[in-house]
Amino acid sequence: MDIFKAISDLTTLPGVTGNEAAVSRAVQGYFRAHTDDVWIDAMGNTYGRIGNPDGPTLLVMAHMDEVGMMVTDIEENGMLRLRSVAGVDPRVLPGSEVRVFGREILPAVVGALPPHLQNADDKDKAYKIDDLVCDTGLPVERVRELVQVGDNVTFAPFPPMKLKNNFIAGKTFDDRACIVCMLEAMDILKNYKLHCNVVFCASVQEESAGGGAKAGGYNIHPAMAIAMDVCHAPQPGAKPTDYVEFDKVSVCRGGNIHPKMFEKIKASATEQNLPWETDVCIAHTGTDAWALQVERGGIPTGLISLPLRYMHTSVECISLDTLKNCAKVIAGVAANIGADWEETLCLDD
Amino acid sequence: MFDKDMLKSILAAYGPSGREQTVSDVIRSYVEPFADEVYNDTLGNLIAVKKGTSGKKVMLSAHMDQIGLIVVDIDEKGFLRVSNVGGVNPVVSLAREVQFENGTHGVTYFETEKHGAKDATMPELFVDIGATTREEAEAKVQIGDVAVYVTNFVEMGSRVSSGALDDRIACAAVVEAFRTMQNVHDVYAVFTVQEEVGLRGAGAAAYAIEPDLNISLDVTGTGDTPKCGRMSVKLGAGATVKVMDSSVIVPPVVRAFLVEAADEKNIRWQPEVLRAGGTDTGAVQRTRGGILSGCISIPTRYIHSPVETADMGDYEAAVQLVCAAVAKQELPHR
Repeated sequence: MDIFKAISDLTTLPGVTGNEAAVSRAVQGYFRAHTDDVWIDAMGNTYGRIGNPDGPTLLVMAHMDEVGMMVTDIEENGMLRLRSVAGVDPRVLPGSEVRVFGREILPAVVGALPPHLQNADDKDKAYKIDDLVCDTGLPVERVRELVQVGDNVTFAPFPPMKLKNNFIAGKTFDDRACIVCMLEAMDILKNYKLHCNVVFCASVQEESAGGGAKAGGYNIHPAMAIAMDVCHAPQPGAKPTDYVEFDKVSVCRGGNIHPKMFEKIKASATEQNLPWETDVCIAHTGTDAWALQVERGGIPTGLISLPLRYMHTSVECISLDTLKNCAKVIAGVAANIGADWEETLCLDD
Repeated sequence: MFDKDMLKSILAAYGPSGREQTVSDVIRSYVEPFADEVYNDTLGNLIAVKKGTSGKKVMLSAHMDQIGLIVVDIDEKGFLRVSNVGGVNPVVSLAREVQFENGTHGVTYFETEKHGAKDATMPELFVDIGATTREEAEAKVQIGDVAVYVTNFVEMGSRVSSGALDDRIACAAVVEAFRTMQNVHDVYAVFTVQEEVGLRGAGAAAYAIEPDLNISLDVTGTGDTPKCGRMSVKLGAGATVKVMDSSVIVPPVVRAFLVEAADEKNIRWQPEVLRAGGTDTGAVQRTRGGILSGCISIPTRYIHSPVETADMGDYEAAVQLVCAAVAKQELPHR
């Protein structure tokens, strides 16, 4: 699979939390390259199933929603006021190129009062969302025709930029890079005869805890699950406990991760000689794994993460080599599931 | 023209979160003649069913609980100390007449030793029920009893003001719609409990009903009063079709369904993005494997005060929009 092309395709589509239909359609297309068994649920979670339908189900989940913005007001001068949807930091917005998804897709910029015109007291302060305007360049009458309160706004959907060292930078690698991991894992698994049933799920509303993962866990009711998300890579100011090295697959261990799922993921990485690192998370992982674990009567859940710098910006940065390794780890877990799967999940006495 | 007497009696009924039996009985008396079935579930949600012909189920939900003050301690002089049930602002709760379920009345004030009213906190608040000793107070009120504001129904042209518009005005709107609607789907009108303490009732009701679509009705804030927070919603500009609040992002297919229903009948509506505050909409959406869920709001000023203010034109638009939605053959789907 052309991984760079898949990331470009998926990250340039709008899919702000709660409004993921466009990216869902693209994911369905990618899933169909591997299976005819593709569907969506009432929340919009998008599924593709492979493997042995009579075997135990492994649910692999990565979320397809993105942090973004929403129009909250249209001012007399035609400027749009915005709110964050699920986690855009207003401090990174001034100077951003964006798109407004109104009746038409409008190019726009986010602006703020320049330092020349600010009070001395305000010059050192970060802008808050209420200090910012979104400017389409259009007169107010035209804006009112084309834009409505509630319309989504995203970072401009530029394709990823190739940095040196097989690194890429762009928007929405959180978490569509992990959707691409799932696609790559599907590609690897086409060469295997699986004992298990694998349901891949591109989930919705992870960024807002809106219940995508919860509904996915309820609907699939799997024997076990693995969530895939991004985690923090080393970056200036980050403490060693906050990050995982860029070249390593992050394997989460903690109170909300099933110990045997941790073991399965670790075994897959070790067997394939792939670099990995334990990422200790003592409580809420901030991922779909949290909701999956307690759905139905409880689901043994693990978490694999892809290290990323500058989370929730338009220049999120990842290593394509590590992405491929994440896919191999997932594929290895699925391939290793055998007739003894139930015993391998039993906790030690 | 709306049924003012019904609205007033639903507004006046006692019913803080967790103590909704009185208001439930009042609402039941209004829906029962029009329902095929009426029952309370285990949590106390009141559910009125009106059968349709399509085999599909639409849930309407409005919460009947209101915010209140719960007694946590009674001192030797007979003053009651209280804590909030739901989002109660201590400053707004000062110098109010309040009432308990058994009819005991009292007034609220605060400790004036350290600072003025604007800095008053909930632990400094107390309720004076006219008692002079602990024993005298305990004869009327127990620890755990809940008081609510005593309020007036004020008519100001097309606008009304009262406590508990949140969310009794929407309960009344659901009753009005339930009486007159020409529903093709089975309609479950659910008057939910415990919304104000974390959207507790609606999810349980939705779990049992498993509707194909939920439409919540609630109040929403406005941005049309002097120097208030920025918000596009205005009183008198129609019922709102919710886009987002802190509990939910309404699926675009549900929003489009409600907007189409409004436009087909020329019902005035406005889009709503609520910055803070959640609604039953989100709790229903997250039930079971996910339920399509949207919300129609009645714009309301001064929410969670004894002088909540709404426009009856918006109320009537909300009633019409509910009727239009449940009469549509095709429900939204993914």
